[in-house]
Amino acid sequence: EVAALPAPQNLSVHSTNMKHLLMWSPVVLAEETVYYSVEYQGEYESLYTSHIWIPSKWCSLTEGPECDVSDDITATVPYNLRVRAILGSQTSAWSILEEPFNRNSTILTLPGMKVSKDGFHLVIELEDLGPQFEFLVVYWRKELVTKEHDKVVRRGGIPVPLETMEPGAPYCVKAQALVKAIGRNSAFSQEECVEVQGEALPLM
Amino acid sequence: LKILHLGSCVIVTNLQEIQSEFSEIRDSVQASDKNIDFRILRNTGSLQDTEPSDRCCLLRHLLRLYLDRVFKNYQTSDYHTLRKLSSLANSFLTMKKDLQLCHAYMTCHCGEEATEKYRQILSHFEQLEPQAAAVKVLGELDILLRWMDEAE
Amino acid sequence: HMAEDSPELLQHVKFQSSNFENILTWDGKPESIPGTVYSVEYKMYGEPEWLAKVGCQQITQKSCNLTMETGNLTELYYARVTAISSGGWSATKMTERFNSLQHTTIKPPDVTCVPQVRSIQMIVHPTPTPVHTTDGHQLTLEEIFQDLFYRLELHVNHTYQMHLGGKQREFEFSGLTPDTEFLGSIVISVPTWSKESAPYVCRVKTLPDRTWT
Repeated sequence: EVAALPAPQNLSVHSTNMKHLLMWSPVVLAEETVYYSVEYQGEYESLYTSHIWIPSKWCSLTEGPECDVSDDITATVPYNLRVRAILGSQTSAWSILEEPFNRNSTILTLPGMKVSKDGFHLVIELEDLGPQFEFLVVYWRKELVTKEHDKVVRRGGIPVPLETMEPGAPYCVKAQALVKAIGRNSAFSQEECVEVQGEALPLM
Repeated sequence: LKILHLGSCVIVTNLQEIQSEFSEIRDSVQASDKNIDFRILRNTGSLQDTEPSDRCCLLRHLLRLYLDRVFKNYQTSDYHTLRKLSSLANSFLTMKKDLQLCHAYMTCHCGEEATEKYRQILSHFEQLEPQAAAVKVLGELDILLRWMDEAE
Repeated sequence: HMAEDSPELLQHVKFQSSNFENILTWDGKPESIPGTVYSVEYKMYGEPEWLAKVGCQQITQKSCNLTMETGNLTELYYARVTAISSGGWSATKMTERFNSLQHTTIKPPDVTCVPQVRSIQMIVHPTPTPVHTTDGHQLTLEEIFQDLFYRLELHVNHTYQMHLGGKQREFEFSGLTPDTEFLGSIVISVPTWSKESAPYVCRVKTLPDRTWT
């Protein structure tokens, strides 16, 4: 009698910056390649059609013990996730994630940013974190800390001019990531300052 | 994100995301609706032509119609369509929960206008066999989304 | 002699819509059989009758302007074409459900780029459409799409562009180097409908700085 294929164990979701990775302990069988199949159901399915599970977009048959479910989790509701092992014609029982996952629990890291100057222009380029991210950028002339300016930058990955700088005066910038879909934002990044060389004009 | 002002009930929804998800299956869903002489969501019952104070109730009824009798009755073996339906259904569920909050705070009053308009929509819906009605109303989701977009 | 159905007579019946100019187009059988004529009908989704499009009955060209007939932004429409070949064969094909708000594409904006010594002004002109209100007012794209805005880029050098954007019509890129050529690119964006036009591009040179000469 063929031993039943063990089900994957220790399911967990690691979610950072709206990238959700379902992970589990691999099923190890000597000289065999075990595959896995991942399925999900949103709160709607669990409430209205609980028998329905939907094959994950990227992992209906996958080799590694992890699956990027970011394209499956498309609403801000709890999602059930399950995995089973596949070996040839054999399939294991399903293992279900203990706690449903909601994308509003994702970890939002400080946004990477590069502050530079182009001629007299103060320029920022933010990390491209994907279409769900916007950024609140705050910038000020160092001696005028009370006079902060802010600007919403709709997407990362492109240099954005903030202001025309006076020579000889340092300007500082900090930024935070905004994810409207879950109504949350990251903490502010460390401030970075740049300066255009030259004689500083007297402050009016 | 879109802020929907439904009388004194205000909810935030990602209408553009929902629109984008539906646009991926719209043509195939509408193509499976063979009865193009008949329409369930008619301009006479539109959200934006409803008294603001009644809009929350009408929308709540419409969302429940989709959740209870449309998404679950639309049969497909195509996984892409299934995923899009799941995404739409869970977004509708999020909106329904927000409207439920308004209902709890007494800002989702069902007046005569909302009740009558929904009664008409339901009577159109029930003139068709459940599966055909689900296909038609799912195909008319772009009409509902435009109503919501214009219900400023 | 009853005309029999011959589907290959007619293919790709669809609307091509740009700035709300709605043109019905189709492909016929390869030109090997001349003399095929086409007749167009249209109707509103939910209505029982098909209406014949005057001016597109028994025509030989493979397009028909249905802008006026499909101009109500809140309605959805179908159109269909019947092809009859000289040998008596026929075919009828219908479009998908059409709504101009959803399906129209946006043409590049009409822009005037005005160079100064250290800045470049960009003035976007309103875009008229064939859509009219019930009282006859001709609508612009800006009036139809509430969330329409313009996105402007000025390519300063190969690595760096300046960006401006907003609903207003007048923009100015400032702090530029005199007597230098820049490439401006302006698009119309309508987020709710995920529409974006192709760019209007202008190549413009800032004026020389004659203050000290």
